[in-house]
Amino acid sequence: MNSHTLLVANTRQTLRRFRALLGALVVGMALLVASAAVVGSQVVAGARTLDSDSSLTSIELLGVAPSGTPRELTPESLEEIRALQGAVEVVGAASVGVSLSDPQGGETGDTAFDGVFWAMPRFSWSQPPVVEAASGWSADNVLGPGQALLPSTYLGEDLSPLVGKTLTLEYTRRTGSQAGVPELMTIEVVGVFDNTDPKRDGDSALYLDVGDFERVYASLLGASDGRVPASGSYNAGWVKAASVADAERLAQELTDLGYYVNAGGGEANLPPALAVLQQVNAVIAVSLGLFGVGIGMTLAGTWSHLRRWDVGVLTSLGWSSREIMRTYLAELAIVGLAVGAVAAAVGTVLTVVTGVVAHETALLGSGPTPLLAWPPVTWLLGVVVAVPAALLLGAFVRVLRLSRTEPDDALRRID
Amino acid sequence: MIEVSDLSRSYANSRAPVISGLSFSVRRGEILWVAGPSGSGKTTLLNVLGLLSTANSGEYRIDGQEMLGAPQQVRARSRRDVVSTVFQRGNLFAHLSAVDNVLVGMHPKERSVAEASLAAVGMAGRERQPAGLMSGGEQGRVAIARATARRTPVLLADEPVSGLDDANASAVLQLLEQAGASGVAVVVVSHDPRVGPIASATLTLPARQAA
Repeated sequence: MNSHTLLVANTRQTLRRFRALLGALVVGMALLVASAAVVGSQVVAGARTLDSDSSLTSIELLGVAPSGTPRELTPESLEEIRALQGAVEVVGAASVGVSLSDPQGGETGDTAFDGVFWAMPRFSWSQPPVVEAASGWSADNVLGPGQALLPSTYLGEDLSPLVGKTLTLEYTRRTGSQAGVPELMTIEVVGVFDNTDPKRDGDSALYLDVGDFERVYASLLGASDGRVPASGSYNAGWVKAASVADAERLAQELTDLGYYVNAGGGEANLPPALAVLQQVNAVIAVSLGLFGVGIGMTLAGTWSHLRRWDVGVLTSLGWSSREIMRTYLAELAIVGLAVGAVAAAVGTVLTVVTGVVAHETALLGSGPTPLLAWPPVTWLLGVVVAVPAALLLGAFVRVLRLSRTEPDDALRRID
Repeated sequence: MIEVSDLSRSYANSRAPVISGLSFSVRRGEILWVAGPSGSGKTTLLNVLGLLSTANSGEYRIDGQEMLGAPQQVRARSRRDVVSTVFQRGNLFAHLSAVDNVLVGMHPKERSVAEASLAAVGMAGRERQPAGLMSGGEQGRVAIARATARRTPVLLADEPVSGLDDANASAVLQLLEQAGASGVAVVVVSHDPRVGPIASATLTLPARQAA
């Protein structure tokens, strides 16, 4: 049977007759591609930042464990950890009780500020963000010698007025098993950090430069050279890994070495803005996907109804069920592939344009929006395949039933 | 060639059969004219003979092979190789050209045969014209060309001269006569008396009684 001529003519007829529905399908699928690509690239860019900057790459080690005796966190063991592959930064930590006072207040007999804090080393990658900083000091900067960060509130008092002030830090230098003398250190308050949700470090943490903290902690252990003695150990240790994958591997490696890993990898959550964006994108993707399947199946249903008479003529001319299935499903597959390919092409153009516009206007917030966002190949292939699949899905049973209908029944259609 | 015995056909929505107890035969080269008033079941009979629908009871044999209970594949193959039907309304694909409409029922390599059939019905030079742009008479002629081009041993025609003027009707009847003369068993369903002269036998269906 001469199916080729009929296939070509029918395909043209279907493309012409259903151009409005097919056009809607192209637009819907193109939007799906563009949405997925632009938002996806934004999320990926954000996730890359997370990968290097977030707590996902932090590992917390503790000097004590709920059961058993873990390896001590000594200066030597920290050196060993620093040598491990993927370990970017290693900080020994402890909480050292210190008091803080305003020297000017002391001189005048009117103490402007007096408080007791827990001094800790500052490593911004796993500690609360700075909410107010002294001029000339950026929250992104690491603390330098003589610089400190205070909590934003202390016993209900707002400490932000202390930002920029120079205060006196008093700590203890151990001189015997039960004896010690006070030591003083002058610090500049370069900022206050958000302690509305204190979490791990508590609401009275005071962050010092790592070197200053070493000096304070070493004094508490009785050392006078400002260095933690080889016999001394930290209560906790923090390891910054190069990537999330490195963090997972390092956590296992440290456990194998006998250290107690209290937490590794942190909370595997995207920042709220990115998470919302990702959720919205998922909803859009599902909606557009359902839209595509719905349009495809509706179109296939209408198409099958219109082809009923055609199939009746063909069966009356002796076309077999198989020939009819092959010809008409091929027609739908060709139409679907054409629509899918056009949708993928339009989606790609739309993605590039949207990416540039989003970059220029920061539509998606202040995150790292790439200038050129390309749709993922899997999405493009998915669209190219999904459209014909939806059409075939919607039409298969109808065409099969039609091809087996007596010609007389099929021909009784109202033109 | 065609043997029909005690054939009855009724529809689900009607208690009275459309055709009842029909028996006749058509040999190769014969032209049977099935006449009768409107509603007497002429087209229903033609649909059964053309294997487009089935009957409720009776026998229908082509060259000795029973067709009513035959598997779907056998009926489809017979529609392709044994029986051709010329429909009253032509049943052409409006978006296909005349020659492509003829070729729909044939192998694409038989284009010259399709063109010759169109020439035989006076459609030479109009092969590429879309059927949708043709008049009713022209469409009827293309439908006859499609049926005769397939050279099946059985040719059925439903009201082939209905609505045609004498000249066109004469040309169509001449084609049917030629088919009969070439050994084809022809059954013409028509209420038009112009068919009478070419018929070798006549079967008049009685008016159907109201159910």
